[in-house]
Amino acid sequence: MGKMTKTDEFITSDVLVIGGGAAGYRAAIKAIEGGCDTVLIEKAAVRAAGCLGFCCGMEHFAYIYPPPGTLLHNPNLSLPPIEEIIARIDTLRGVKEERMFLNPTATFSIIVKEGWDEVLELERLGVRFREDDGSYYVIYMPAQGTIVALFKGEGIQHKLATELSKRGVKVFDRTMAVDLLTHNGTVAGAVTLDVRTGNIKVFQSKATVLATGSASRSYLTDPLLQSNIFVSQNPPIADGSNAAIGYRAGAEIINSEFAWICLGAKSARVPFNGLAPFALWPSDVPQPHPRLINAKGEEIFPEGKFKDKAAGTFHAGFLPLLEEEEKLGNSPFFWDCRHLPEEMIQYIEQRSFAQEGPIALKWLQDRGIDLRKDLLEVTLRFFAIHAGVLIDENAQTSLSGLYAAGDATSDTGGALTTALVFGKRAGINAAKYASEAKKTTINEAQVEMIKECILAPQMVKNGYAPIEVEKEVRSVMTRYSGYYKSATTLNRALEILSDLKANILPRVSAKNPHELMRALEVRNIILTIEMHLRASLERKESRMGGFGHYHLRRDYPERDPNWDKLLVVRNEGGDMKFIKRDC
Amino acid sequence: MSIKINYSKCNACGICYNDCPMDVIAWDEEKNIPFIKYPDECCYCGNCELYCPKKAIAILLPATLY
Repeated sequence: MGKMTKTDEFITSDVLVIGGGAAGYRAAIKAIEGGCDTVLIEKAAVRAAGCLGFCCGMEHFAYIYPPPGTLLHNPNLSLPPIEEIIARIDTLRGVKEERMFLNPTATFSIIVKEGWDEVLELERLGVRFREDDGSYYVIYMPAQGTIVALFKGEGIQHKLATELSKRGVKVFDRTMAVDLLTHNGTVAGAVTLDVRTGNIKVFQSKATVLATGSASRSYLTDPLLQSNIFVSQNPPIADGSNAAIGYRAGAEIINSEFAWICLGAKSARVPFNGLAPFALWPSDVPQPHPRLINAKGEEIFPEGKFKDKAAGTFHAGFLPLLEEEEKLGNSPFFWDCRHLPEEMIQYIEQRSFAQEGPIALKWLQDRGIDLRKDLLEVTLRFFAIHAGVLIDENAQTSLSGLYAAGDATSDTGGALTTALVFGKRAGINAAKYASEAKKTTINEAQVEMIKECILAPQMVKNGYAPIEVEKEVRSVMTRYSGYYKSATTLNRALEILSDLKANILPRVSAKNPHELMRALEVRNIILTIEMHLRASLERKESRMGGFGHYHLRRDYPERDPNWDKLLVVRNEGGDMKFIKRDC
Repeated sequence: MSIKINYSKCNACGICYNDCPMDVIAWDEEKNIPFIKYPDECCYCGNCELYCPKKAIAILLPATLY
């Protein structure tokens, strides 16, 4: 055993939640309400965990439906019946007929029905949804079929962290799940590394919830931005351990072939999601909204034409549309607020930017950008690989005893709403399972294997720094499997990746627990990228839709209805197996 | 360096050290103060600057994020 790591703790619980963002928080609360002894581990610190803690934030709650009688900021806003909203989202997002958004759970009908309860729950914790007059600021976007509630989210993750402690959830910060423990196909807990002390802990549980976010460190967020690879849109703490940990344990993973590409500000640290309720979500009804314009000042999505051009999907279609504009010599692209009423500008500055990322406001001030007279340049940006653990409506994965929620599941469409609603379902069902389950068995040999894996980078002398290797792996990914890919580029990427895996990964060294965390993250990133490349080779068609899902093959440029199916990847005795499945 | 701690203002409360999601900020046990150990791993989330009760931390956004 190396100098820095030692195993000194063995912790048992009914339910183990991995990840302390919105989904993990909600799962832990429901598990403890279900009468279960509950432990939550977080690689960062719960106070700064997930999308909320990372300040990429959230100031809008999408896909909700305020019950009739709710006091709305705009009293003239008339909302169609809930069934109509659900049908509209399913159609516009291509969930039903188009099969663009490939996910087996009836996500939208569930979150639209259950989302408002989560609004009320957050209000109970002191999150401010209401305006000074007691009304809810709700925006309805018919072209999206989406109803969004805005809220003042600053410090929200602190409130969640306080609530976890108050309710008696045992929280372990700086605790990285290295791998799950399994026994006869049942998940029995996890082996973890304390990224500051180097201590290894074994957590034994009857049920486990995986809520570790998306595979956010697969691409170089901006291919031109080489200085710091952790500047990203999604929280960079999420290394892809959702797919990697799930896969190694034998869980079924889906959507690993899809890139997640969205519009973002040119400066990678200016979040853009929070502007969504205002920007680029034009509606059928004329209302002032920020405009996406080309270099000639022409609006790219004029009101009313949105539906025809982008098939009603928000992010999907941006790539070809912007490329078309570029060919016409109309790039770059900007976000234009100059025509907006002062009230809306202030709203964006004070609420959207402040909550979505205070650093964005600082960026605007530093650069002297005033939305009243200046344009904000936007560009396409890689968010993540869409890979996630396959779950059913109960948030159960393909392994008994394992549940998953939030971005970890690839069910990313409803963002915060999906995380909370499916976090809730994961917690309820994990608690139910745990109260009926017998004590799980720890496979000692497996614990030893995971410890060896943790030990390895500590034993390497004069090796590679983990970040150096991560940079190379992500640059291979971005170069050969970026917006577009083909069998030739994918095979070349796999060739380089297997070389890196065989010859470089074993020589990654870690001089302290922090570097050890980075080394173990590189292992996850390489596995997630390998899944992406192999799955991309399998899916012989092109497809885009949903929420910036892109799978664009130069050699198979058309969509193939035979591929209106999920591509499931599973670890079978060390072989990466792909299964085409109806959904 | 992208993050600066003003030690004349810092009261060593440990909030920045406890909250930094990327573990960029470490603790100097001898001097009992926080210090920036991994500046290259900063993701500019803003947590340290935002929640420092003494306003002792300032983030300088790098030119590459122009």
